[in-house]
Amino acid sequence: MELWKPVHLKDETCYLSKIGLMKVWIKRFQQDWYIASEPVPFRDPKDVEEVHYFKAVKEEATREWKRWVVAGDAMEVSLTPLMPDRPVVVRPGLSLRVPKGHEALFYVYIPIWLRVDVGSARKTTLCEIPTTVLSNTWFGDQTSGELCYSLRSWAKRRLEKVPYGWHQAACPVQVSNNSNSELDFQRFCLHVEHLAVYHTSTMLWTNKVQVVFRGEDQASQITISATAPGTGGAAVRISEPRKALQKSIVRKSFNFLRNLTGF
Amino acid sequence: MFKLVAIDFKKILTPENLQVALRVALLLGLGFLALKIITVIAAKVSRNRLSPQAAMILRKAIFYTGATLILINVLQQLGFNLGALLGAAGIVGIAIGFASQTSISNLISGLFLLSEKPFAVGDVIKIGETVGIISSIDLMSTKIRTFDNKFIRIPNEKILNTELTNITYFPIRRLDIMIRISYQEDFNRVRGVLLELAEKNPFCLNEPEPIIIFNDFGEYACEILFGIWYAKEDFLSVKNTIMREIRERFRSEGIEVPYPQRSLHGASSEGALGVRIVNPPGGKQGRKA
Repeated sequence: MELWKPVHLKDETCYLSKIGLMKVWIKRFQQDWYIASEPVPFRDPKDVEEVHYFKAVKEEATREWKRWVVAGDAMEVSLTPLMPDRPVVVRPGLSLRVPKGHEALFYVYIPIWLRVDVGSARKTTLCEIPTTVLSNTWFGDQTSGELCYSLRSWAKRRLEKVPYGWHQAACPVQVSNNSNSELDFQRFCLHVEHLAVYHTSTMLWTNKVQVVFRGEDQASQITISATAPGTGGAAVRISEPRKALQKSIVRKSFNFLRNLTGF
Repeated sequence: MFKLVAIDFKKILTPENLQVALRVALLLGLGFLALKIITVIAAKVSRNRLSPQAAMILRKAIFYTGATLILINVLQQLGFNLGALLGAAGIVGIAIGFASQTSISNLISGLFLLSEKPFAVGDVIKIGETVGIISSIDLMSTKIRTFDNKFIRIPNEKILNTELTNITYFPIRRLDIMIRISYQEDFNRVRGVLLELAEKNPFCLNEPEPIIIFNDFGEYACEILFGIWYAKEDFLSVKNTIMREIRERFRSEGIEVPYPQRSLHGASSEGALGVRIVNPPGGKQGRKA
């Protein structure tokens, strides 16, 4: 099974793909494409590791299909992993402190979205499906901020052998404290829309992100590397960032111990 | 009855008059053309710099000022005495001013609203008993479309002088749900269930965190305030899903939502209260208990 490669679909045959905790059914009837998806409840780590990629299955009548009409005679379809469509808020395992002048490296596992493309020479994107349904969260205060996704899996200090089902990409985040005080944060906002996705033989990666903290009253300097992180073997770039890759972004990324209830 | 009047075109169409007519025609034609160009340029320049309402006011101000200048020039070309005209206009203006106090007040209120910006087009506001979406903010009035698709025109003076609530001013809002549980229920267990529901609901924001407050000892139940935050555009989704989920989860967990109860006691001098069963299932009617 070669993941992420285009697959030629036979007419009137239903195919199942399962990546992580999301099942996707795709079938084609001439120029009509039908797609259905359903999240899988997590009971066992094996639920996550099991992967199917366009396995021909018997069609079930109760499936809720969405339908597209694609002009031409496109017969190939592919699933491409890409980053979520919003920033994600990540929490370290415990309230973390980085002394001034020091830095720390984290690995954040970000659930991917699957982009369904049809066609070979000229691809047409039909839809995007998240492999994990993420909860909404707000990064900022009650009067201003941005809508993000909340990552339940916290940032890891080491590359751990987590139940891996190709549904998440590891993002190395290097945090440097260049301020005059200790950096104490409980969560940080990662703008994944600027990250590309890379594919190695064992897992998915994103670009490395470097965050330089310059003090509570200043925005942090964020630098995204233009190449693969250089970890885990030879990496192939498999999808582009949703937004143009910027070398340096100045943003508020850190949220400090703050009472947000506003009550 | 009718007198035939011969018009001597030779006296009207003199070279001097023709020159004046030509100058007036050129003034009107070129003047309004230039005015149109200036207005279009102003619209393009102000599109990204000003709000739509401020841009509209700027365009109208440019147009009416330019039109007035053109008109004054035309009147001068036609030989009118502008001094006398202005005098007459002043008197007329005073009369119009007295008659249109309300309209002018609305106009000025509109300018204040535009500078203060308590709301924008697309916001949901509540003014008095009216709740609706702002569809346009004009100089004299603000137009609202209600949720059941009624059109309401509110004079700007009324908006400026009335307490107004902009429901969608801030990007996130809190949905407060008052929940009543039986006095026999374990508050900590109920609290855990509610927090779990909030965590699992995709529309409920993880942060700001939901709040749960033991609000009051009610007449027949304990009152708990359950507040969850959501993005303002998710109002319907979060309200429908979380209410349904609370009901279903309470039912599956066996958490009792009590109904109002009343204990009836008869006065001691009258003895026990009489009870008559009406329409018993499969029994005779009117049986006394």
